Amino acid sequence: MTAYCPENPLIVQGDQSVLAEVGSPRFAEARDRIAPFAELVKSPEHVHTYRITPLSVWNACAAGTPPDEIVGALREYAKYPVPAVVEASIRDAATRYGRLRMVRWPEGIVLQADEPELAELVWRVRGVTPHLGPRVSATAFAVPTAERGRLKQALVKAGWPAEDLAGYTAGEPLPIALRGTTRAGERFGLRDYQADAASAFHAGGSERGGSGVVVLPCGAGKTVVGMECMARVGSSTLVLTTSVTAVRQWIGELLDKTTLHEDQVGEYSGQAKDVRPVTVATYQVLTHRDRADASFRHLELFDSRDWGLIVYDEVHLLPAPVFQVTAGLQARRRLGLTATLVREDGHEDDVFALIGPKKADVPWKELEGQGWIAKAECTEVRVPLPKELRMPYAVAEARQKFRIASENPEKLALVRRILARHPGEPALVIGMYVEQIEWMARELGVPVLTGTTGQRRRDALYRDFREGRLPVLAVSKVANFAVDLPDAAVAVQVSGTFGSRQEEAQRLGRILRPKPGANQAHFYTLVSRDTTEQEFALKRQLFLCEQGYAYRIADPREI
Amino acid sequence: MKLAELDWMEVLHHLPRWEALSPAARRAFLEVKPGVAAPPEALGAAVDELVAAGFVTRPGPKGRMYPHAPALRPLLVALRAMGRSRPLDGPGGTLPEAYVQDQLGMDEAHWLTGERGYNYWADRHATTALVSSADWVKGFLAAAPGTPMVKWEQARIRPGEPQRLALPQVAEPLHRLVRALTAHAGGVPLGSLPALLPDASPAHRAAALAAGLRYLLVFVSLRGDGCEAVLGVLPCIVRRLGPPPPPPAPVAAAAELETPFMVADMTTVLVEAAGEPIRLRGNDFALFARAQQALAARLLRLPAWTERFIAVQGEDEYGGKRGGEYAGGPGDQGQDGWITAARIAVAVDALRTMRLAALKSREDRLGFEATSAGRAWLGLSEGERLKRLLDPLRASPQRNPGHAGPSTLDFFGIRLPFGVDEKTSDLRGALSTAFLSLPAEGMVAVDAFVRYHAQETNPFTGHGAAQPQRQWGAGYGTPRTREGWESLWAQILAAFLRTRLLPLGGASLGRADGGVAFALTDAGRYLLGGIDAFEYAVAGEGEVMVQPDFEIVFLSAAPRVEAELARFAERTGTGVGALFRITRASVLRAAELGLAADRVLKTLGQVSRTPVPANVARQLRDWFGATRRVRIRPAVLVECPDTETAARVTGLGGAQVTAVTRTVLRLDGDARSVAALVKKLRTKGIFVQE
Repeated sequence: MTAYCPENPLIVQGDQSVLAEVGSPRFAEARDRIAPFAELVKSPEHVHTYRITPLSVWNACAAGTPPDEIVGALREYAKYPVPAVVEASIRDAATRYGRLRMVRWPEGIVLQADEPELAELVWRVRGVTPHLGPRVSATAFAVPTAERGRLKQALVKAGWPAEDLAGYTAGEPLPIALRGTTRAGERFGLRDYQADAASAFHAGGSERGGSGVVVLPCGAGKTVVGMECMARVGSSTLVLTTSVTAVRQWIGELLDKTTLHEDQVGEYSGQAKDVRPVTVATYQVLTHRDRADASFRHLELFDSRDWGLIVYDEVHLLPAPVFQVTAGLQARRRLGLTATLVREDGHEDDVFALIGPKKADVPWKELEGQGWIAKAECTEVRVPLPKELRMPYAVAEARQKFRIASENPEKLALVRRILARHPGEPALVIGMYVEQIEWMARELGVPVLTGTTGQRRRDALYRDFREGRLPVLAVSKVANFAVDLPDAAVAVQVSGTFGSRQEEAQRLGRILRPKPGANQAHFYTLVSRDTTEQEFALKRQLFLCEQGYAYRIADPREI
Repeated sequence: MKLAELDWMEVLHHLPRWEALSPAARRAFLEVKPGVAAPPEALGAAVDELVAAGFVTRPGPKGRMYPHAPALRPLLVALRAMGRSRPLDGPGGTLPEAYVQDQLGMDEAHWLTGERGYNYWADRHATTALVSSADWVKGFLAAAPGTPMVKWEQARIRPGEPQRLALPQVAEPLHRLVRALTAHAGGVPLGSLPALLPDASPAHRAAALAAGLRYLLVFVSLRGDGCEAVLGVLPCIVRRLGPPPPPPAPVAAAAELETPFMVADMTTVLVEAAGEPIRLRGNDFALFARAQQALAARLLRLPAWTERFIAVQGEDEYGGKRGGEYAGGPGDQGQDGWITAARIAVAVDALRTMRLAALKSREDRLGFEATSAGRAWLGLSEGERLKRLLDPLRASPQRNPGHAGPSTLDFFGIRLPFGVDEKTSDLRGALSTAFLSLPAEGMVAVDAFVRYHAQETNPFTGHGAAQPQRQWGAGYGTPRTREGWESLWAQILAAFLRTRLLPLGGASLGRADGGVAFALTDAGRYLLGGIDAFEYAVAGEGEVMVQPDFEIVFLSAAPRVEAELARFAERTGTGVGALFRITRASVLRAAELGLAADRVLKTLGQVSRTPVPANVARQLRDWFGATRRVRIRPAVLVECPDTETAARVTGLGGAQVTAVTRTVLRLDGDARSVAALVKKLRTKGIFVQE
């Protein structure tokens, strides 16, 4: 293609970013063609941005996409000629994949290069050499078992990814199957995209499957995918997740939707230490130590059973110590579940090396279009600061300014009006400051859930909320992660940290599960006008717009 | 070897033998030096032919060299001289200066041109210009053989030098020869001389030819690979004596460029200067390289062929080389960077001239920063900014180049090497008439337009306006011939198109079969006074989209839109793609320039293919709405110990005193009135404490 083709949707830029015009008639097919090798960075209304990196190209190669197909897809859908530097970079990255393989020989695992020159090159890379064993041939090196993961990490960092075909240990056999009817009596089955994701991960049990990451938006049912993968692997499983509540959610789902019994599923957290054929643990307990110089004693959990599968829930939040242990677990199947491969700390390549390449990725717009997740409308309401607070705000130091703005008492009236707009719809009122959220809960006459709420009370509140007996629940920051509230249709955030993109995505994900009727979810943020809170809210606005959510800014009188 | 002093009888006598040779043999024979035997390798495969034709003889039994036939020496000398200088192949058909250097001594050149100048230097450029003019031949032809021609000759040779044209038998053939040759643009074979002058004897024919060569009326040359000997008058003269050029006819061309890029360039530079002063080098007031590169990256992109067009130095068939502000060639920035450097320089100069920006020295650093007028200018729409440039130009009383008033650009965009009397000359009128004569629709070729008006409506040569008077500074660059004046007027017309009309949106440019074509726009007619008002077309919608995340994406290139958006958005890329992002900082900068939310949103709405997202519109209004303007000025304060004293001071000061707080008062007025109040206070027992 040499001329400008306006009907094509893509603009490929020299920095390897790809802009995709949503309004183009060929957008959908172009998106499907580039998704295997380009990471979606953001998806605001009219133009989505993707980025092609060596990692994304390797992910594509791992899935069987050759470089010619990658370049061909770009050329076919680009408005302008694809920059030569981009094509060269793609081919360069693609040609590096598959040239190094970890395979199992009778003597053990070896790293095999496709030619002696490459073997020599790799052997001389400073970060790689310490993890290699003795040379076994002109093109192969022995790989100590304990170095399998670290070697892969080092090779990725050196720009020479290794395809791990050395296979896995079988683990303790454990028959698991998904139920057709849940214990609660509801019909249950996999959605097509969930089945596809599990198939892509398992790969029929071959050595080409068994390690990788499934990327699905919040509310799309990653837990179900995890359970299906467990069923296909059919062995003991260690599930790692982000909080005790999430642990219990997993346990609840496993017991509700699979053939597992209570004595087969255990919780390993700050409150319980049950190691069973399926054990669900928190990252926090694994990385807990009594002193800064002490060891992470709970990491022994990884060796306490012959795990056949390790599931890393919210793998984008994997803490560094767990990465290190995972480096030594390469003989076990590993599944990462996440809504985004983008990490704040930039350790995407460690996820690739130690957990595995991306196996499945379904855009949320597609799921929203199919009705699997709710449509979300985001509204930012700017509440004026009352007169009596303006001077204290003006003279306060920065941190206090934020608190004054966040705890603006005028917000309460607005919360009432918002809740009145959505009568009968299950709603969450979320806040960062415990005093504020407790006060609002009292004024609204609703229960409140904070970090100090006992687990039993917490579970009861969640149950009542889920079952519709509790229409409104006030929650503090604890509700950010892994709270399974499938029927929350409205979230009203009265204060927040606006710190990380994952937090924003998680918070929104709490209300994105499909709803009856219009399948519409509402997310309100209340900020005090002309304050630092409004400035911080801009970050949220940008993030949500980048993700493609409809974002509206309103005055109180419009509510 | 001076061609005029050769034995042309011998040359012409042996010429038929030369014409019978093959081209290869001719080329080989030219390798032979007169009086020197040639080695066989110099003659190559043609040696046998040359031997057979008697041009060279074979070497003796012990030799290897081939001497030429002695009788052919004059021919050989002439042919080598004709091949060396090739006077009929000069640029545009004019005479090369090297020919004058070869054929005329310094003294001869002085007397030929009538310039008595220096005895150590001859103005060969003036000589070539003179003899390349049609008037040179016309003047000769106007002098009939006889006394007029003798006088013509006497005026052009040193006294005492033998006169060649004193003999009618020489003068008449030369006269006929020159007249005959003016009808042949490409010259005639030298061997046809006898046919052209059948009544002249060979000796007279040869003498006439020699005289013609001596007085640079006729020229002999070798042409092409075949080394054909030709005789002719300079091609430029033959052309000039032909029919006049026709008026420029419409050509089939589509407008490809119609954008006031000078406005965009000035906007780009001023946006930078308004944000933070652009640092300049102290020695030459030029931009530092990094600033230059940053600005160059943000300039509106022009097609390469357009840049070549506006950068050319106006070289034309007359060989003149004088361009406008963009003219030049590769400079420090190399071939590709020259035009962007020139555009930046023009923009900077225009901004300074119009006082939209100024050089300021702060803390020993020289900077180029926007003035308040410049900031106000940035707040206008593109059409209004353009009008602010056009109106002073249009209204200026300037009639001739170099007479621009203060705070306004020069109307012509070019300077002349001599002064022109403003009272008696009106080149502007002639220029405007020429451009306003263009048809209302369609395009004309630039070359055809310039050629026609340079010759047919030239105020310098008496067409339509009085001859300008040279006043001062006249010298080397002043034309001396009619063609020179035509070339100058052509330069002025072309420079006005390149440096004023086109950059200010007064002309649209396109490509036709014969070259670049142009048409006048309403803005151009307005500038030239042809119309009193014009509507400026807003930059049309391109493939631009404003995204909810405040990014502005260009799906296709839209350079004018880029220039508009740069006033209130931060640039993040160039070409196509995500080129801008609206941020709080960019909005604050725009607000400081005087832009308002409504205007910014209107611009976004006009350029974006999709509606401006509601959150973007709302956020923009909030950011703009949060800005305020304050004034800082020195004040005199009176700090009173209590309210009673403050009341007493207020009573004594009257309107001069304003209460800031209950005990602090502000004194207005000049130093004298303050001193008067202090004196009054003292009389009332209120003393000022130092």
